[in-house]
Amino acid sequence: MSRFETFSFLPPLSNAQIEAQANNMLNQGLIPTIDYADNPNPTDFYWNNWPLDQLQDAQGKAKELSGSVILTQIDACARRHPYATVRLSGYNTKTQTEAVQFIVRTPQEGQ
Amino acid sequence: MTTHPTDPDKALPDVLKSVMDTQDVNAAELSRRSGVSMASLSRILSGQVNPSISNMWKISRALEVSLDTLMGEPPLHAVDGGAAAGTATHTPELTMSNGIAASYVLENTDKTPEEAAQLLTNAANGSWVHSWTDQYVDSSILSPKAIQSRQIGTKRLQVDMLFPHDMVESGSVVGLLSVASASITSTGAKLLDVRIPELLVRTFAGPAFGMRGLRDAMNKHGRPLLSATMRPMNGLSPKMYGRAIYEALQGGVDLTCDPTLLHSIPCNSWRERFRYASEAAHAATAETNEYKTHVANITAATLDNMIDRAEWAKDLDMGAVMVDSGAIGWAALQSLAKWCGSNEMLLCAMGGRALNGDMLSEQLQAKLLRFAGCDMASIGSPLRGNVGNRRFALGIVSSLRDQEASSSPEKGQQFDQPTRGLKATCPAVGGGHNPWHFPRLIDALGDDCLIQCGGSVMGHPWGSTAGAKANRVAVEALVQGRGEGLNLNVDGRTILQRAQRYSPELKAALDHWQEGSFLFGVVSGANIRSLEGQVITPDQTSSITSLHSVRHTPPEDES
Repeated sequence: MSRFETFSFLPPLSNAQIEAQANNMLNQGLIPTIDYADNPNPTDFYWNNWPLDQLQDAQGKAKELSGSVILTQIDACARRHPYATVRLSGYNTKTQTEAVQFIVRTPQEGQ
Repeated sequence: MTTHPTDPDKALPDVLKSVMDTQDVNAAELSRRSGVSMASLSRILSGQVNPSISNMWKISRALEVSLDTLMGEPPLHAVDGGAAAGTATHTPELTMSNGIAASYVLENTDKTPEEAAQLLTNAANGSWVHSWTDQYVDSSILSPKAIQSRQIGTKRLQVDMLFPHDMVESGSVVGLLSVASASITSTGAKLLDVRIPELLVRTFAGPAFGMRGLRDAMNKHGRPLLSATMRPMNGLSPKMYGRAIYEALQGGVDLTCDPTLLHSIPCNSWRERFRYASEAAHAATAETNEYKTHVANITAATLDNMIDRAEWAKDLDMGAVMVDSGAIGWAALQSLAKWCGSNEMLLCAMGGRALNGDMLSEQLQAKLLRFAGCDMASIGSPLRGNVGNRRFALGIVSSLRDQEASSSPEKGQQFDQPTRGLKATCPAVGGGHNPWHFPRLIDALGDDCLIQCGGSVMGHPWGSTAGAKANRVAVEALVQGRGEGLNLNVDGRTILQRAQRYSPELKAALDHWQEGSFLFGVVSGANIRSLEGQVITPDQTSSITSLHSVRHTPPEDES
């Protein structure tokens, strides 16, 4: 059975749960990243980036990130790439490492 | 070179007479003490003759003053320094910034703090007598000195010493220990802590990969890692041993480890063991889509043998090797760290706590392991014993991971320790954990650690795969709960009970193992002072342990 690291042994996270993790991540000052891959494998470190840093609201202003914005973007990414696995990570700039990283969408759900 | 104002022929008799006056020694007494004949002495005192060097030497010894003093000579550097000599910048002084600080404890001693300071200083200088060679040493050359000496308990003294940093070569853990141990020589003192000054810190390479490198290489983020140490140590064929590894890895642990004392035994020799272990890890990686590796024990009689074995592990594409750091010695450890750094292998230091415990505190061992370059080091569990032990274990973790560890004696850290970018060593908390312990463990250590839980993996009633899965579900459920704002100390039990509803493996594990305080192992090394100032010696800790009934958790340690 294929596993993708953290939270892969839990039942699939609900949207509310993903949003809670995303909010916690932002509260800790972690830098969020959404990325996706069609054929992920354990040696494949570099997934495709779903950019979060240039989001704008209707007035063209930079959008402030929140759990719900991240969740919307996860859904947008999954809709655009229905056969991809989508991952959310939070980079800790102090320790220079991803302090959070887990799968939020799998291909089965996108279909 | 400035000329000396005084005429030596005239100065000597004057100075000698004044010294004899102050010491209340007459010529006859001085002659008796020094062995210089009365006739020579009177001629010297009347300025009729220039004394020979040997007579001068005898006189200076008898009066316990230096030859310089007898000659009426100011110290050399003051003569040469000219105008600048008076400024403080030219006076060399041993401070925390240019000295290696070391803290010692003297047990059961009748000495006063002053006597103890003198004893350790003399031992550090290695000189119980003044010798004639002393005069050739420039006064700018620093020598070890005591900076603090105090009573810390009944018949217990703590003495802090400073050693000049240039007595230790660059990047040498051996040098640090050798210099610091000078004060232990025949004084019965125990070494508590050593502070490596910034001048030296940058000469240590430290871990080649460290906590961050380990996570990136293994692609494991956002949770503590899990490892299982294989059992039994003797009797399994390499293939059966490999099968046990496969079962655990495939179930969900990240690493499996050889037991520390399994080097090479007739039924399970190292070359074959590595081959089957690597096969097991690769099979588990392919099957689970997660990076799995087995940590191969390369401990052997000589460094050559160990590097042979490490090379074989590398050829088999294994990610990490381990050694019994206490048994192989610091020089071998540093050589291996260097080899591992340039060969892309992680180095894990297991064991050694008990072996070194009598002379080095665990906290100091942890610091030295980091400076020596271990990517992972096994430490005792913070769940052992009482709250004092927990604090002490957290001090050890702080020495392994923190960038700027501040001085906190209650955690066993006598000094602050700058690390100047030295990578963090991953603490492998060891032995005997089961899912019930995880909430408190993760709460105490955070995510950046490796939990050794081989006992509850291999001892699960349904086998290793189920055991590994139970542990992994527990860790992930707790990390998720924490992310949702729950407090693991308070809500840990609830999180586990909720998780067991969807994980029958976890339910079986929680039913099989008991919750309750974690009482295995004793803290070896330095004695720990509890909050109340009461001293807990290792002996007392073990007697506390034995008071309680036997737990269901197997007493597994990383040994």
